[in-house]
Amino acid sequence: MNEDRCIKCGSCTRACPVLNDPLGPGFPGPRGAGVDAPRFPERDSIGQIALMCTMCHACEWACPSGISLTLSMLRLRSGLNEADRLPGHRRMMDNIASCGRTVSTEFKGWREEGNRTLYFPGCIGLGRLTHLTEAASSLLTALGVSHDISSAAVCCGSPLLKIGATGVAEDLRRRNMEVFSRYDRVITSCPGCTNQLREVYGIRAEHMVEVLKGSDPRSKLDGRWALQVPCHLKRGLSPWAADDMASVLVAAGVDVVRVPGEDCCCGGGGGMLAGFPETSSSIARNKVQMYRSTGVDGIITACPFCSLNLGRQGIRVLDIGEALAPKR
Amino acid sequence: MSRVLVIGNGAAGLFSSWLLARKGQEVVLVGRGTPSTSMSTGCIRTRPEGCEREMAEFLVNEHMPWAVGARAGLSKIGTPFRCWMAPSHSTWKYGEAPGSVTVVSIEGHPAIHVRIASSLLIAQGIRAEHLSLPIAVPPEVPLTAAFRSEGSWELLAKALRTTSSDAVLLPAMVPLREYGRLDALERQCGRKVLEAVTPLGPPGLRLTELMHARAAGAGVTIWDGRRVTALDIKGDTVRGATVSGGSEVKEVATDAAVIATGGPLVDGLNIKGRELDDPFGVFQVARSTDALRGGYASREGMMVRVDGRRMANAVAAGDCVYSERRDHGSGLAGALDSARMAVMALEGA
Amino acid sequence: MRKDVLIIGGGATGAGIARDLALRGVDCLLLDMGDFCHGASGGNHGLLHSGGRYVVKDPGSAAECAVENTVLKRIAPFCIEDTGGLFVSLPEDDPLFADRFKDACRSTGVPTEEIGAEEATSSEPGLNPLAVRCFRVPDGSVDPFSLVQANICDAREAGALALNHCAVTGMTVEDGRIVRVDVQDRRGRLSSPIVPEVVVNASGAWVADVAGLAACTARAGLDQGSMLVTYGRQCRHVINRLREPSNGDIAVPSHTSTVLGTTSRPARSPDDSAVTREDVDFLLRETSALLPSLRGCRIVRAYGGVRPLLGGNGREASRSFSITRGDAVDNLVSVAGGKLTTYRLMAEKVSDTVCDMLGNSSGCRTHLEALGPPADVEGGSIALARLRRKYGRMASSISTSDTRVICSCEQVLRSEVTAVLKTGDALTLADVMRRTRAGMGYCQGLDCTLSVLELMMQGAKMDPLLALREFLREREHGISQASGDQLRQGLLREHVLNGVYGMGEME
Repeated sequence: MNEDRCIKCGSCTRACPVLNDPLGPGFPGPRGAGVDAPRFPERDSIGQIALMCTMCHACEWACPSGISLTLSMLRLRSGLNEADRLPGHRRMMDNIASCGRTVSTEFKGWREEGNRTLYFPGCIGLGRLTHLTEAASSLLTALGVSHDISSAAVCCGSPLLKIGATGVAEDLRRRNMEVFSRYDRVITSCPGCTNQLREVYGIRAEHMVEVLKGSDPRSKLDGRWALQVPCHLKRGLSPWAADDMASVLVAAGVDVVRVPGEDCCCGGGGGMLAGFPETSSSIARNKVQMYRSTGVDGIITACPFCSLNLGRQGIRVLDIGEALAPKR
Repeated sequence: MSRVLVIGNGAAGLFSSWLLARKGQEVVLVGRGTPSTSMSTGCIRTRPEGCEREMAEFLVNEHMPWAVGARAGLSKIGTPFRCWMAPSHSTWKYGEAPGSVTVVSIEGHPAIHVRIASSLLIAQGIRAEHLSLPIAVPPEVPLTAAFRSEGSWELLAKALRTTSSDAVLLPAMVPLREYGRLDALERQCGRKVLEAVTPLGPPGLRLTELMHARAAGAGVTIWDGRRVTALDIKGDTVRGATVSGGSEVKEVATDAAVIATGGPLVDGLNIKGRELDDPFGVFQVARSTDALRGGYASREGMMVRVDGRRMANAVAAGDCVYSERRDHGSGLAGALDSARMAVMALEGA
Repeated sequence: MRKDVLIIGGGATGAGIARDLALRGVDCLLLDMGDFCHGASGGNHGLLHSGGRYVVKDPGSAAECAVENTVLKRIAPFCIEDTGGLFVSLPEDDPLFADRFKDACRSTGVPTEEIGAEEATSSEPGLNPLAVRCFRVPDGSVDPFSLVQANICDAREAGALALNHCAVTGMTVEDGRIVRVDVQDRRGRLSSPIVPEVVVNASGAWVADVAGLAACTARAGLDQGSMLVTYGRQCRHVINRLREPSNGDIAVPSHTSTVLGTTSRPARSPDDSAVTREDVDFLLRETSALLPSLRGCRIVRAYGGVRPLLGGNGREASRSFSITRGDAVDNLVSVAGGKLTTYRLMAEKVSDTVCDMLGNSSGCRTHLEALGPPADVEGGSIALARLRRKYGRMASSISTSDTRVICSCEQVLRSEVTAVLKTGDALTLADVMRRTRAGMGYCQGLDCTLSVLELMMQGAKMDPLLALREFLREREHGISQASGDQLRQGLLREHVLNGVYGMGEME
């Protein structure tokens, strides 16, 4: 670990979306939690402050010393005691136990036709935002990608790592690998899933943006649209994929308005949406206010968590799959 | 048109990219994290020797007017600060110091240190008054966050009406797009509003955002969050680079390279023990008596290989250039000036 | 002002004497020209000796350490980390020394247990895998600042008066007795000379200077030792090199750091404590033979202390102590030598001597009565968990409702600083640091000093630039000798303090 490189310049604290939110009190910031707290011999666990981070990597990008702050936070989380678990995170674990996903599943359109490609929508796309999944699926079909949506696939485990439930995540990986072994290609809509599949499962999953990049889709979307560039796409998966997200939309004919701060966190990541819903929606509210001031008609994103969290603030939010889906 | 790869997205990298793009070059700017000049006070300390005009053009922005000439202001501990060019609210025209200043603070917040400041103002012959705002902000939370709400600004304006000094010294807390609030506040309270000169805070962040927008506006392709892990060098020519970002790695071809990775503070050059070391393992690093003043060696403006050969298409800019003259305080002017010289050397080549 | 006993020097020994005498009902006054603990008591590696280090060459000291080790663990558990210690030999060390060590431990009463190299490396993962012989000993680390403060606090509760920043400027000797002691109090609390029955000279490295005021001599060799502070705890135990005591053979984990020690050279004066680049390189090279990870680790500070040693120089000198009556003066008792670990024993012996002179027959109670509670590690934030470690039983006087942190390196609460300032003892930024640890962390005060000074200026008129310069300069000594990331820390510091705040320019 490289926390010992810290020179206390405070760049991370200035970049942190939680610390800079009026409803983020109690969080000592990336440096306080990730660098300073673990140095003390008095504590083996620093308690719930380890959970007050959206894992957006903004601190890591701002750090002139190159400290792996997100890894540091993840490590703190894996050392949490059961007593530190937040009610929202308990619910996630209960849902995992009952249906294998962090939210209860509403999706009905399973496709188990023996195709060689698996579309893996993720827990939010199967539970809360089924329209996102349906649109992405029809877009894939329109692009000639025949695919399955398997009811046997479960949560990728990424949200569980983020709430410190490492053991459960490993169990889910084993279940998923059995499903994945029947396919040549896995496509996801959630950059959190994509990362997990690549980094932890070791399979070359593709995010929807990466699929769209080579396939030249067209959009019939009217109005002016701002982007919510997902943290886990840009700073997690690949900064080039984030560049592609914009260029795919522009090439498809969408009127895209680039606004400063489009790549700042929506507040929905890292288990915050379930763990600290007030802070999470406060960050989203402030972000949406910023978008509204630019006069756009809505926001296009590429992450179900962003869609869900920003969408709750009453602004139109489309996933990139929805923005480019053929009109029904 | 040729392609130039600029490595490092600090002040020197952003400025040289902009200069090159304006001259019609295709520029790809690669930086390890978010663009950053956040160590800066946002003021240009010394008069830049050759690039005053370009710099003024570069920094011109609808959101933040600049004052140019001999300027003086106050740091957040009340010590005097002199500079050449500053955001309009950071300083006054040299020699026109206010006779009395109200120092505004939030109790327990380190954005401004009011008792230290008052004491040092008095030592300079400036009458000091203290105004503590009744808002609670934890010390680790940037004030910018607290001052996003209209309520805080109204509270401040109201409180200022009860004071009587010539000028108001505020902690630095406005982002680029909100800079106009300081003008509004000045109108509301009828006296000069000064922003305390602060390192490591909003002034540096504003400058970063401004420079980033200018470079992007000039057509520079900005690859932030990516790092050049190796250079492809044939003889005396950089032909390309390996760039990695997230879980992807790309090879890019280039006709020229500007290396602006910064000094040891931003980890541009490795420090092994007390010595600077080139992370690419290619270039000569000149050492000064003070190891940290060292940097890339150059000959006639171009970088030099460890084997002594002068590069044909690579230049260094900013804090990673070897310079005996560099010292604290001249940072931004020095970085920008060296970026201009690097671009000139590249054009000559 | 009449006093039974005047104790000069508020280090561990002086503070211990004040507590001891006060508990025996003696009316005493403790003075220090600077802050309590500003000399060698604060400038050491904070090792609570098991005695192991001295068993072969200095069995007397070893036996003393062995006894005092258990006493201190009993009476001052709050400021002691019972880490345990390891003595480890490497292939290049004299193989016979280990056996001599083993025998000497037995004869001096230092508890020890030989363990296999495998067991040693599993309980201390950073240990050099080439370790040959390994012994467990009950070494620990002790926070000297906290220990001295607790002694002073206890002494005061028992009726002693203790004043820091109060220098003795002269002594009047009549008929072979000190009849009058002149003092200069930086804060004007003492205005009249002291008329003592007995004067105790416990001024450490300054022992000869103080004795000189009464035209007496006190012999002590001055010896400088350098130490390094690492970022983070680099080991779990106190790690000693199993060989004749020599330079660079010990690493002591303490608070958030490890202290690497020490070097030894004759000092020209009590203030001759400067650390050289050679010291730093030497210490890193030597200690990393025991703990290889130290080779690349970040050094956040280097500091030196000047200790008064008895009989001979450097490593040859005994670590024991001596108590001498003034040669030409009846009522002067000088104490020199000794170790932090044996401070209480020294205090007991001095107090016995003093009580003899005063005709006081009460016995010593300092080994029976606790100085403070065990450190509490339950509940609340890190800062709260650390309060008892730093303040012992005084921790309860700190308000815990205000949870704002003022120094994040050391997790110091703002209210700790406020409470310390309320005692009136802290006059300078360094005084606050010794009590709270604000400024002892890896940024060496860059982050917290201005906020601490701001609080100090609420109650006192100060020249802020003078105070900042004095404190921050001193904290920089280590940085300028440091390496790697601490150099970047130093560069940032220079940019902020000199470049922006203009502290260099305004001199």
